[in-house]
Amino acid sequence: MRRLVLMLALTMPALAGAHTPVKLDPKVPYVVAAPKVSFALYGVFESGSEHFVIKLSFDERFAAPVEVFVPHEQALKEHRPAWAVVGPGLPAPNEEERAALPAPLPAGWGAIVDLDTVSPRPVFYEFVMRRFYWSSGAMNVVFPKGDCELWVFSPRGTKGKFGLGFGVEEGGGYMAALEDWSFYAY
Amino acid sequence: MRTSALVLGLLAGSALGQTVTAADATLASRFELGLPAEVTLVGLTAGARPELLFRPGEPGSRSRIRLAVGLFGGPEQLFLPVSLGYRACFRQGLTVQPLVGVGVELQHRFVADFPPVRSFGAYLEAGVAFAVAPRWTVGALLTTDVMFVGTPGFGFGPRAFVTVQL
Repeated sequence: MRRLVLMLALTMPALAGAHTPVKLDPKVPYVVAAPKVSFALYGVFESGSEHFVIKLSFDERFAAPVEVFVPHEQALKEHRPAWAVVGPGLPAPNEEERAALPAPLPAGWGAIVDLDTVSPRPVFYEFVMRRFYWSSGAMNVVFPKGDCELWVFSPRGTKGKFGLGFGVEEGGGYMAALEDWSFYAY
Repeated sequence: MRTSALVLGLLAGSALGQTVTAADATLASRFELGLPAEVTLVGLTAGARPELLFRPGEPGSRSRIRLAVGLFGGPEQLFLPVSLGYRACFRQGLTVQPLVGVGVELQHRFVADFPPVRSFGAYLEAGVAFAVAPRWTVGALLTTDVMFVGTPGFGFGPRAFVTVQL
């Protein structure tokens, strides 16, 4: 069965529009080796109080869309994770955003924050896994030159799965989804 | 209804290089009703896909024309596929009867707050049926589909079924 899936997936040209999937661990920051590549990073808020850190480094300013999405399940209707790009040289967040951040900003760092409050909540269909997701809505972010971080957190303390999509270039590695099928597909 | 069924049978029989004759059994005996239960493993849903099978050829022949309409529910979506295709049923009259099929499928996926997602493509199925009583079979199939019109995609899943010849 797995061989059949692999064969058909490889021959499906539409797959070229997919994100490179990665599984996140809240205890270990994920270092993105190729930050211009289009990624879908998946994780689970087990307690609702943890946050996920993704480290990026750009050799020049780089614009890319960022969004957080959760499975379109009734049980996750109130689960609206937020994200923030934090790093030196970024603008200071407003008070509401600063209060929502899961950790204090290091001195000299600013943040671009999306608290995922848009209404009605955007929905999209992901055709590779045939899934529906609620999205925070894609926001175009100009990442600064040098090091920065993406934080994903649950400002309302809700639990559940999420995905973080960002980047623009094709990166391959799509078959990683087959190595942990139940995590990515369900 | 009877006329259209007869025309369908004649067309199908002709297309398969077979001839429908008056000597055949009654029209009703050409039909089989199937009630498969199925799980889709890409886009998790589960449900029923009732199917109507028509035998265009002589009794005991392999060919079936298949029409199926499914209704599936899952944690994220409601899934409604409509299929039309061909199924070959081998070893008719014996207990173990391998099956293979191919056809076209129109898929609809629904959630409350998003427009329906529609796709059109082809499906393949393969499995085995067991004759458990006169006119009754049970069995299992594996199915795959590739959608190439509308929203693309690839799917697969297992199906268990019971079929009765009318």
